[in-house]
Amino acid sequence: MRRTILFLIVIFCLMPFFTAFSEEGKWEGEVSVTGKYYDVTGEKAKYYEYKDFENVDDLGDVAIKGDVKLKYDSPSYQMEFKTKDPGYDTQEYRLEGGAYGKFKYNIDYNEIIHNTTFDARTPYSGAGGGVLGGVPNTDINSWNTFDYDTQRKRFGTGLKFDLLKPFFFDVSYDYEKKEGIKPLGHSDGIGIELPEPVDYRTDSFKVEAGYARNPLFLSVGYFFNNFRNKEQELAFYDPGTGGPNTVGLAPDSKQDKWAAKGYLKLPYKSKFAVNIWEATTNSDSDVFPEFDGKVDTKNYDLSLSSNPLKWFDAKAYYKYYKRENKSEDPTAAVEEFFNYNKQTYGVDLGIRLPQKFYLTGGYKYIRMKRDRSTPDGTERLPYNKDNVYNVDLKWSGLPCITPKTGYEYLNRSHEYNGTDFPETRVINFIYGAKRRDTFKIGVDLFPKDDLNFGLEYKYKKADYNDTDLGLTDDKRHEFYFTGDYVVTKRIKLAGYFDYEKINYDQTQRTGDSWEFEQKEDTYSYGVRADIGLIPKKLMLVIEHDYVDSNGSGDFSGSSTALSGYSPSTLNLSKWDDYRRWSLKVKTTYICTKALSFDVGYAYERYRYNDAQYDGYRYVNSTATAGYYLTGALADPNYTANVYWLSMTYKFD
Amino acid sequence: MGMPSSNFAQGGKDYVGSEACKECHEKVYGDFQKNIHSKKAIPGSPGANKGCESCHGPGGNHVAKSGAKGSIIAFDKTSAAPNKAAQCLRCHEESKTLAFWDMSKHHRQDVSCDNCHSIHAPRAKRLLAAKQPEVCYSCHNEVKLQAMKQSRHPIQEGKVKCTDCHNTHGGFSDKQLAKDSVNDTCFQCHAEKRGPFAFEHLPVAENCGNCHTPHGSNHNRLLVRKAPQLCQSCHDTSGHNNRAYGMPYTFGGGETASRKMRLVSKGCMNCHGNIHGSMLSEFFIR
Repeated sequence: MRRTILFLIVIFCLMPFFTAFSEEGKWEGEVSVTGKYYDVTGEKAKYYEYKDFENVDDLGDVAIKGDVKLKYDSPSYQMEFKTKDPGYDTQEYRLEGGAYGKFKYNIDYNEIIHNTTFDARTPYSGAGGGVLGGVPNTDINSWNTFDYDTQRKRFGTGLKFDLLKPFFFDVSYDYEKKEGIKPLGHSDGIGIELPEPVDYRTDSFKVEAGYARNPLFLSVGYFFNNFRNKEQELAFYDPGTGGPNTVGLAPDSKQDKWAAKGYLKLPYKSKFAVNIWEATTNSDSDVFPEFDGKVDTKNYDLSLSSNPLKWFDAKAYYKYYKRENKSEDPTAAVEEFFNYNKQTYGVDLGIRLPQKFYLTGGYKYIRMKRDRSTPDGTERLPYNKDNVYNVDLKWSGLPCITPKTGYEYLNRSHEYNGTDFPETRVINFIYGAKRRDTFKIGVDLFPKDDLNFGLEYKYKKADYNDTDLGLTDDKRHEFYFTGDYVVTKRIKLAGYFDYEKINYDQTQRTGDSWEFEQKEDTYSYGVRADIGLIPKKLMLVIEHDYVDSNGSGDFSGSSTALSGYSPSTLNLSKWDDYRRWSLKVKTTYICTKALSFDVGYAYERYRYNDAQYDGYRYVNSTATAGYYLTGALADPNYTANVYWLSMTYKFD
Repeated sequence: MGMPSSNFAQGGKDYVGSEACKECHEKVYGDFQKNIHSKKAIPGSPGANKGCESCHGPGGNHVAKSGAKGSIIAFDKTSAAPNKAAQCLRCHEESKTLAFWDMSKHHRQDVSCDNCHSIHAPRAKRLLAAKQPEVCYSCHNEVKLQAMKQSRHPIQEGKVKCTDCHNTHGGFSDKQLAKDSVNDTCFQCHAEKRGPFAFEHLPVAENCGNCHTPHGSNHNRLLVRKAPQLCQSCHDTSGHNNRAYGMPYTFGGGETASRKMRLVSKGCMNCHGNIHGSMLSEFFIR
């Protein structure tokens, strides 16, 4: 059926193509062939995280890719076909085109690979399937190896009709297949990391029709999404129970959604806009067939925007979003279903002041209501009310400089049972009161046409002053710099520097409470030089990037609170520390206007240290009341040298 | 934002025709012939209307003043953003894409069409001045840093684009999300997390952003902080939830193996694997 639909769509879309040939049309295109050789040591999966390669005996990791771009353009019809990485797990194909002013179409295919860990180990056999064989043992040399990776393959097609303007009509269909293995934790007395099979199929269908001519815009649409999981259960021998066991995996689910949106233009350059949709999501599980999963979501938006004066514009808006869990469980195993609704009221203003100052500001009120439906009734969870104020000021009096500054203040309050939170109840930071200040200042400088800089600093501090449990404080400093400079016609320089410092404080209660302070310092910088060694003939690009992050976690509290340890014994000095250093050098030789060659070399080194992975052990010595791990994300260090040669031929 | 006022440019009432523009702007004229705006087959396009002067206004004054600055509508830094956007919206407002531009944060922050698009020198599809994500990084520096961190979506590889999650031209959502909630946005690609599950994990059902940060993170799986402390900021019932897990609980530490499982590798998720929701266990262990 899918192939029939695809065939008909292709024929329909290409029909005007044959008549278009009779007009004055032009072909142009580009073909490139690239050969790459990779010399990667260490954890290849981290380097190839979103890349693909072939491993050739006696040669190593290589990739030979041929990309094609083909474009046809005539006064009434256009078509474009592109391929990228054909034959590899990152391949993309796209065909799009249409008759100008009448319709557009697209057909595309896209693959995304996500490599997590190569040569992971498991005591089980059959990794990737829904039934794992064997019994765990502590001799890891006897374990089976496999790769943790997932691959998405997505096919999509769409048609847009403009023939009957102001009416429009869009229809699209997507199909995605996702397959692979990912790590899943489980415990029934002994913790065990299992290779979870990923075998998903998702169909999405969208149809939308509307009218767009001032003063009215209106659109109605229907969306359908069907997710299917071919492996809803993972069976294995569980060392914790000493017998067979199963873990339930993602259920099938379907979503139907009806939507309408539109606007009406009013006097005084005003516009009233509406957005309404309702969706129903149903789930269906092989491991719990009695459970009838159903969630209704609704969303209503109203907005009034106006620009009655040249120097003043405003917007007032309201948003209502509701999630209602209407699932049913005749077995009564499930006792609570979560619901929430969120209402947002707000106003935004923009005022153009004299001397080219532009002042914007806004206020937003958000009310978040949460509750849990139980057999005994509805239990109300803490509600939140947020008041958010923001103001920004920008000056554009001179073309060579644009300074700007801004401030936002958030004040969150909570309530429970209509009164202030009772003292006997734990105030969790995620529901509790919060005050957050965000301040930013920046400047864009354009001293000359060929020189520009950007500088920005942002400070953000959130206080959870009433917290009994969780974060009490979240403080961040962020600094950004970018610059571009055309030194001469033959030399261009570009660079950036980014820095971020984050501090989290959190508190735990155990009778005696203990605190944990987590810090992250991250910076990255990059420089790039484009040099015309021989103008329009020989070009050189040198590019260097570096990312560095250091984290730590410090404890404080009494010995009792810290289970008999002192803070200095517990403190974690390596907490996602990593450095990535990369260098790329590329030379382009332009033989003719149509033919060019690239020769390139890239070096990349990644080093990672973290207390959760240092000294990694797949299994404890006895594996009773212990654990079995598979090596997921362990030791991701790598060093990569990449060499490539490519040829590009352009024609028209 | 309304029609450009006569103060936008001191263009006169005379239209001189695109051939006159070609005499001084030959390369721009030539490039424009390849542009979709030049197609006469599109009703109302500049090509079917007044060519260059459809967007730049009448050129009589500009020619008379030998191309002096300010004598014609120009899309440069000296022109006000609303005026530049208004020129484009004269044609593009009546479309699904730009119907709600005036509600967008970009509009409120004085971003105009030419900040992202380039009619005469596009370098990417949809007449973008640069490909995604570079075109967005020119203002959103913080996202560039996030996307370079060790745990990330394939943004740099071009497999996930900014417009997959965000509606750059405006809509009804906070952060200009393409969908009306964070979860609806994430479920586009991660439908296996949608459920509904028999046993829900409330922060998951409410907002993926309670635990994850989408652009990039120093922590595996795009987590905002690491387990177990991330989980302990909500869970502290008696027993292992409360314990301060530090160096003694690492692989080389002196604690028992079963206690080490709560810190090493995935922390709490070593046992509570179905953390997004479970069909079999209220503790998400199956």
